[in-house]
Amino acid sequence: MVESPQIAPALEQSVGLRRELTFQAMRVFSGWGYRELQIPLLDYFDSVKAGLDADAVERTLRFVDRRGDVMMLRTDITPVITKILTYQLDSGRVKVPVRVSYANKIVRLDRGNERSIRESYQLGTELIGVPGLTGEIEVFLVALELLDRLGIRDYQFNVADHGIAQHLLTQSGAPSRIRDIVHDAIVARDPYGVRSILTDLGIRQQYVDAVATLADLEGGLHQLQTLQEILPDDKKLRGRLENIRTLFATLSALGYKRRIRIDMAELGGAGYYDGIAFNIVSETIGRSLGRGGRYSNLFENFGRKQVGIGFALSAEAMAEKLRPKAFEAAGGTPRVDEIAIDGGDMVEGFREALALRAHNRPARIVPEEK
Amino acid sequence: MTQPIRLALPANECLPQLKAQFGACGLDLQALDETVVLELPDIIEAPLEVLLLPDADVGTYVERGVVQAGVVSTHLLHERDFDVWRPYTFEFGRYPIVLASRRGQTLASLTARPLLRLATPIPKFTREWFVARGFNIEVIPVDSSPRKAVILGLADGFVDRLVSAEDLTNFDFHALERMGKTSLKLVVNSALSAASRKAIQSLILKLEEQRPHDVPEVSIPFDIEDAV
Repeated sequence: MVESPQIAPALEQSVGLRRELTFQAMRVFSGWGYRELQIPLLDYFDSVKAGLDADAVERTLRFVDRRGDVMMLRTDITPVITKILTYQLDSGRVKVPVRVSYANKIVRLDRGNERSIRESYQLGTELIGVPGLTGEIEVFLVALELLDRLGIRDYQFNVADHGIAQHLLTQSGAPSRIRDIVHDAIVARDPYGVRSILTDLGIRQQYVDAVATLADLEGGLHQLQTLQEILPDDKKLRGRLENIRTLFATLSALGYKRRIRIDMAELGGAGYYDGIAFNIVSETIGRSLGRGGRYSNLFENFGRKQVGIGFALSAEAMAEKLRPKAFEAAGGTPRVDEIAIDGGDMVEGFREALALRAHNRPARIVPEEK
Repeated sequence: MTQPIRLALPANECLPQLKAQFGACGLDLQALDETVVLELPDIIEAPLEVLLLPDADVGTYVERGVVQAGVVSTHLLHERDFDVWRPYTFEFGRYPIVLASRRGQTLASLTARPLLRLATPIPKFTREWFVARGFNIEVIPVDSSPRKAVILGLADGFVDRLVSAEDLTNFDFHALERMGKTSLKLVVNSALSAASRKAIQSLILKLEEQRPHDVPEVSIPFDIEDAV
């Protein structure tokens, strides 16, 4: 019989690397004024679900406790922080802007058929109460500094504005259910699919062209120009395009031009993102290192009007990226002195171990074979 | 030096048509088989390496970034929930997904059974389709040839892509319902650099220029008496 545990324990080396990553991240976060917040592992599902989208709800591990309350394990940290801060802001105990950071595990059910449980260790920040590009650029700079300090060279921020996609889809007149399907086709960079769905619905050609432009594989600044040319009289669109151009220009002027790529199809991630958002990718490991984005409506789900923006990096993806270099730097596995302990006279052996530890040298106890 | 782009083609019934369209784009893939990786340095804006993989595995390799692009059918994308981009749709490889059974049976006679047993290599799609319509069925997953599962008595009917009408008629089977369709996509890893995306986009433009026309659709062999 083949058995495999659903939750694999982290290997010793990965734990060490993760600890180092956390240490570095917290130094960067605190350097920008972010204070670490401890997020509860368990929470009442009813108190958090207002902040979760349908996908997050489906992927939440839930159970009923002894009193009959439905409990959940941490699935997404941002809604929990939003909930906590809503209470604190309401009570006047904290004032905006609020800067918080975290290093926590989350537990999610896989999307696949098996629905297995997946653990992920996330390092991130949330900046609450700073609207506009000031807040957005600060969050980009925090994430960029961390990646640079960790020595990650091959990474790129794919940047989109969820607001532009939402605006175009609404203006197109496509019904809500179809908008979700079109959204998925945009994320999959499937312009053929986008055109096919919208044309079948009889959507006006300029909106078909505009939405299909979002799904362009290559991305780049030219997407913004194309959108403006297709819908020159749309003032709201023009304002948002100008906003993302300014973001790009500012980050370029700060020396990060080659790290930032406009990619208007980058609309994945949490369902509560509704403005500028980004996905940090690395081609050499072939996946995302983390995501972030602006959320303007999430607080309203908990009864308060407030804006936030944050990001989270996956420690597992970063460890995968850093592992070979980290072990090279560490010079391989450190030498450990083995001390044999005789069952008859243990004092001498343990005294030797204590002497090693007094000088902070590694020691390992090995029972002496009879 | 730009990173090479690895392109994985599926070892399935679409391979000859894929070789023909890529061949028209200047990629000579005639020597491609399971044992070789073809290196084509001057076709697009990055060196290109082409290899052959089992069709069910292509999506996994692309999702994990071991190969940057591949060709996968949408039924597999749905079944495995691959997180990949799909920027190009081929003109061929479009097949209906049908519910089929032995000739003489009807949808009404099958669904009248206490528990309808259906063999299929696409269990997720099958389950979703029937659940959405309120049918209680037992899905029996098989890797290939679900028709054989019906012949041997494992199932009452099957759900699969219909690649050719003869796959049913030659074995005294017929289609009861057209449940959906599948198409063939060029899929791409979702963490590609700007340079790699540009190179793949140039390949897509070549494919678009060489898109074949008049690819016939598969006719579905419904029984005439079913429609009466």
